[in-house]
Amino acid sequence: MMLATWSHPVAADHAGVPFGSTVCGAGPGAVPRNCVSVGDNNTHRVFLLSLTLVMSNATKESLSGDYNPIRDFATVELTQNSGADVVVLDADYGVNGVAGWVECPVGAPQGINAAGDRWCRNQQLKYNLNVAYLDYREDAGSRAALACHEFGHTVGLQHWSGTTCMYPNDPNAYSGLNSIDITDVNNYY
Amino acid sequence: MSLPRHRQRRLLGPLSLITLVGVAALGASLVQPSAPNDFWLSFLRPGAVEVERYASLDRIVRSSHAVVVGRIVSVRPGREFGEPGIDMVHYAAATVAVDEVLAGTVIGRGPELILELQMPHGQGASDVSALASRVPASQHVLFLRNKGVEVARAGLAEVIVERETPFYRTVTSAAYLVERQGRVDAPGVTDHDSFLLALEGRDFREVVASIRSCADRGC
Repeated sequence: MMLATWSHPVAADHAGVPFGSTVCGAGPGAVPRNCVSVGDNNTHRVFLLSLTLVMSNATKESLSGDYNPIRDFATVELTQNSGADVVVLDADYGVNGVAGWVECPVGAPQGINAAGDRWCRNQQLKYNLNVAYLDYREDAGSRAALACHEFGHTVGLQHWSGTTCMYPNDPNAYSGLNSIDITDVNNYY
Repeated sequence: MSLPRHRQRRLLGPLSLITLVGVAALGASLVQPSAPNDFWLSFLRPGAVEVERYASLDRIVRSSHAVVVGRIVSVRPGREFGEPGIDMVHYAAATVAVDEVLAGTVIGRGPELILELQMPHGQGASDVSALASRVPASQHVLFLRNKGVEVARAGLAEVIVERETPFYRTVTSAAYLVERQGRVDAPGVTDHDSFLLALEGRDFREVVASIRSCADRGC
């Protein structure tokens, strides 16, 4: 068993918006699966496993423009899938009602940190290329919003209805982070 | 999407030193088969950008292609999509025996329909059998989207429409209610599904009647 030895300050108030992991399952001892996680430290290692060019560009731009500038947080793009916090892929995953999502796979390194949140390494971030959901990828702005949104879910950001890429379910959402998002990521990590 | 507070399980205090490791080796042994939520919790995706979102019962009823009361009678390995050799997503095909259509129309073969349920990353056909043992025997209310109609509206080719027409999905990942000891359980709801959350704990039959009335007269 691994112990969660990394500690961090308790997250500051997120203007009433929840931050942190969501723990799913049937109770103590259940398998936490498919739920929002946080990173295990303040360096987020990302491996772009298999991406179309436009989603690769949108992903890289979000990492460099939205997340890397956060003061006490950094993203690193890996050249191979070794020790990645997030693995990014896209494909036509079928007509599932979803334009993108993040999973912590069963079997991925994971644990509970001092704040009670679940951290997860090797989170799988997927963009669905099914043509039925082209709205979410048809222009640079929507692709930026999608990438920013999904990465937010790998660090503990949750949905809220401000001027933020974390606004839920909107292909025309604001394409970047809100200052509240940035402050909370900075305070948490 | 975040889970309502009463569904969050924060492992604090003595458990804060305990790290949950991957449980693939343990398989389904941690899951209690008698808990109906175990089945549906396999499919939660709170970190998803869902293409549909509803703020009221009236809207979800009117927007669904069909709202049905039924039971899941079987679960089998279903279709696969993705990039072969790199990443595939597997679907379980749940056969739903429809007891009543509360709203809309069910396309296809008589009193049954196929509900596709996306398996977690890394799980496939061999994991569906374990899932099948956790299917709740109780009735469900399902708010459904027909995939054929969905892709037709998106302007996809007729051959794709025909391929997708036999299959349904729930309109959102939370769009289902489970009867549990005569009451409504809504295992997939989050803080953003307050109108579904408000149905939890209510008498299942009364909620079905409310939805039927909503379909007929609005609500």
